[in-house]
Amino acid sequence: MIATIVRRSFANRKKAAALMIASITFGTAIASSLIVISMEIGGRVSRELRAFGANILVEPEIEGMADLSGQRRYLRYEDIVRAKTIFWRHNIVGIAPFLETDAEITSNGKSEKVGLIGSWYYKELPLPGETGTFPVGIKTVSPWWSLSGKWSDSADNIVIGSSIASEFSVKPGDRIDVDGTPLKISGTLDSGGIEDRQIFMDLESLQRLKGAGGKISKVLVSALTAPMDTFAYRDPASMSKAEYEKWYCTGYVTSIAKQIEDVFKGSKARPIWQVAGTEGKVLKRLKVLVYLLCLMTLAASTLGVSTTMIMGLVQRKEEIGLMKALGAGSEKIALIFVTEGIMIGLAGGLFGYLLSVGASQYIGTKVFGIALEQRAMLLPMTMAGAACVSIAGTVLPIKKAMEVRSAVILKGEQ
Amino acid sequence: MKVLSRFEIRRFLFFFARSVSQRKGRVVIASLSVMLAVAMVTALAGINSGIREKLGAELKAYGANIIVSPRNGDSIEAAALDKIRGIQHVEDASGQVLGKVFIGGYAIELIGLNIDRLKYSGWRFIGDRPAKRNEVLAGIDLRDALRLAPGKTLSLESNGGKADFIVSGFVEKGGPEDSSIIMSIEDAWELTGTNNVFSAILVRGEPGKLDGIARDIVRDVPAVAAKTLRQVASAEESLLSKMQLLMTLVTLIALFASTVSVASTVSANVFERKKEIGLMKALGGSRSQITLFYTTEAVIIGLSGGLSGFIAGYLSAQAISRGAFGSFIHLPQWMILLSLAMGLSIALTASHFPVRGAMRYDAAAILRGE
Amino acid sequence: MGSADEFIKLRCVSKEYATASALRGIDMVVEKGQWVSVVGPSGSGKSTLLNIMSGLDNPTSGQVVIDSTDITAMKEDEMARFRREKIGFVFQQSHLIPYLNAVENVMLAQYFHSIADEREAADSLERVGMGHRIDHKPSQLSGGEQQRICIARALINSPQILLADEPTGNLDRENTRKILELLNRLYSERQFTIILVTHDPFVAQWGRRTITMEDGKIIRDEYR
Repeated sequence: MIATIVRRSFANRKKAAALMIASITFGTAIASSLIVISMEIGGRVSRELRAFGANILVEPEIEGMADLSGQRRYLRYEDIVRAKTIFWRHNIVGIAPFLETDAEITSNGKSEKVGLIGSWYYKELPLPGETGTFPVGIKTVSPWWSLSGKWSDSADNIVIGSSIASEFSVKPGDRIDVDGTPLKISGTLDSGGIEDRQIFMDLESLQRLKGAGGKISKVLVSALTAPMDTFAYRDPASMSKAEYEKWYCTGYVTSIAKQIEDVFKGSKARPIWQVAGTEGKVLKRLKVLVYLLCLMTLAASTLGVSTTMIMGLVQRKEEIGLMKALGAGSEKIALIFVTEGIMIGLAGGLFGYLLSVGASQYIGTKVFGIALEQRAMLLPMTMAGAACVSIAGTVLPIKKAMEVRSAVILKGEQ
Repeated sequence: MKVLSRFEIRRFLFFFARSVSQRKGRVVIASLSVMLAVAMVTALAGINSGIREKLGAELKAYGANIIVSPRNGDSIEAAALDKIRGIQHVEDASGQVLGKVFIGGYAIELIGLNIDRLKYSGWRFIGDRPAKRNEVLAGIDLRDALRLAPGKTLSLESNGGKADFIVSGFVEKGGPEDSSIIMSIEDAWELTGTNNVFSAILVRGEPGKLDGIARDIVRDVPAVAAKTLRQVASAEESLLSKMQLLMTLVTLIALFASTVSVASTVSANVFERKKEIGLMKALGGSRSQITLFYTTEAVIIGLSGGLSGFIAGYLSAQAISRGAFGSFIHLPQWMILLSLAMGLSIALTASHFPVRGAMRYDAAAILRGE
Repeated sequence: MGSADEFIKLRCVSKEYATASALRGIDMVVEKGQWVSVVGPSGSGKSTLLNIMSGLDNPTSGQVVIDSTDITAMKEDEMARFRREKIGFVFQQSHLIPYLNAVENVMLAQYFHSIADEREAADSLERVGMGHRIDHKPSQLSGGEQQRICIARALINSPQILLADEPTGNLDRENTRKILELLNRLYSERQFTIILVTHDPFVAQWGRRTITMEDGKIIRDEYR
């Protein structure tokens, strides 16, 4: 009987039912789009924040005053790939090794002592112990650097910083004397920082040239991290075993740095706080923001769906009054309308979910250039949520209608 | 619509008031749903208008995005600092003194700066910040190399002379600062034997306006070079504009979706009154009389929903801003007009179509209940 | 079972609305199986009396006892159960669910009572002469036809009491006669108690007893 009633009622009130479903569809769509966004925002934004540059600096360990003022110590070249073996290896999105030396450049009778840096611009190294490769080089840690021309591929050519290029009036293709040897300029580099006053050579070529085989002076690492909280700022040395475990297995910038330090022999790995500290704060703020927005839309659309259901039922008071006069108990009346409510809710939830997939995909591609990951889990959740809300929106007005004397309703005095 | 006489207006208002008071439940529900939509969109738009400023304030911690350095010689007159602070779009500027000091014969970098500003520029402190003259901070590498502890006295030598300093705490930055001594500008001047000069001025300009600021600095301050730090500048601009875009799209989608959602609720209100409309027609009500009736109701629903929606939206925007950024947000004044307009247009459009539809029906058919 | 002599008993029943009194101290006893017509000018309190007997409305004071049960003390859901067990209703307006067809409207009452049985519902329509219209929606039926469906619906659960409020008020003489003949036939078959409110003497004369009301009071109570 319920099936008949509900079916007939929908068939007869197609427009009204369609309006209700539409209302719930769009209400749910906003809420579930925001849920998708709030689940994805952390990951997306922390990737965006990587544009601020490396957040971990690996340098040789300092053992005495001599190390501080000039005496060179080095890291081992072969440890670079080991950074991709740590617990949080998948969070490491960029690695750039540097060998720092000096050189005197001369061109058109003008000379200057500048830093000669060995590094890679962009290349892929094989993953240790796995198939596949991972990207390394300056481009992976400092995406804002722009190279015009080509990167140095041997000891015969170099890349020069943009300030030097304009000062010496040279351009890619020209030659410049480096420590007395004329080298070809393969490209110029514009970083907007001190690197504009340095010259660059392929890492291995510079190692050979300077007789520093297997040595590097520092490594910059760009890693996706979890926002720092009070716990993260504690000194790991003072932690209990369980706390240390928790700290080690949370992707804090400090714990990732610690893990990197462990794989680079004789190193000290430190968060670059200017980047890492701000990153955590910005990330946390944005997460809270989107989370609150999500709550707000959830509340608004919950109430919205309820008003839709209430509006639908208020108009059927007469029907309810008649049913009551026929001797229907409140459960039976409620059952009829709740069934209708559930079906409307489920339909609205389904369409709303589909709509939200479209909306969040659009937002993802538009803002982050990549579609947001959809979670199939959200479909049953949305449908169940919409159904629950529409049940709530049904029960209330029915209760109200049950309180009103049928005699009043049936006489038409609403 | 023809101009109504005063009598007609009064009669209209009488019937209108009767109708609304008989159906206040529905009118309240309809304006409640308009309110919800308006509140959501108002809050989103409010956050949207403030997100740049709020996030920008967070990004300040990335520090200076323009570095002003001397073009000739090795110092900038202190007066340049005030000039730079006066340039448009400059949010903050502070001077730095760089030098060398010797500790037990080893040369160490010395950085003199305005200690109060340290907290904004992404340093991590261990121990206390210097509270008075002759207190200094040591970089964390220096601490490890010298096995320093807070309160320890350091004897520093420079071309200006020699003095004892007390280490109040340590800093970690993840850069060359980690092996330096950091002290107040006044101490640095005294120690290095200089006065009222800076080695560099660090400028924090509004993201997106940096090139203009750098140009203005070079024009207004003699003998300096200004360099924008692209690392900070471009990443900031990109992040801010992405977040702004995100908020704008979310707002637009919410605007669209909640409009449709609410419009269907509100039009259900009129839709189910076909019978009433049929009756009015049967009683000889003209098209414009009937339309006026429902339009007035829609205006009331729209205005009350829009106004209460603005209030609810304003409060939620403030609550959200408070929660996310720890500060209130400034909502532009025109937002209230926007909210009212949104409420009105939802309610009017939503009741227009069903009324027009009902007008087209045969009154007899409606009254028979078909 | 209660006493057949005092099947329905009203004691000092009054009903006051905010502005006026509809009933002023009604005392009345109806025997089981009686057909009572309640007449009186409009506003005399006939319909209120009916609504109170069915529990659709509460008296301001007084007591209504039906089949030895005091219904004035009942809770809403007990009242609903009582109604579906004991009472059938016919209204002036047909009050059918517009989106259900004739047989489904009858089945709805069955459903509320116990279990919907389409065959039984169709039979009942057959008995009121609507067997050929079971698939029609209310809007496709005439007023007389709608009232027949209402009668079928009212009697489907074999109630002991049929309450009818101006059941022929919207009908012409010819249809009125047909409906009353139908009611009379069903009444003699099943012997339920009928209380029928009307202002039409032609309709009133079908009952054995006529109660006349005026101004919320019973002014005459005659048997034929």
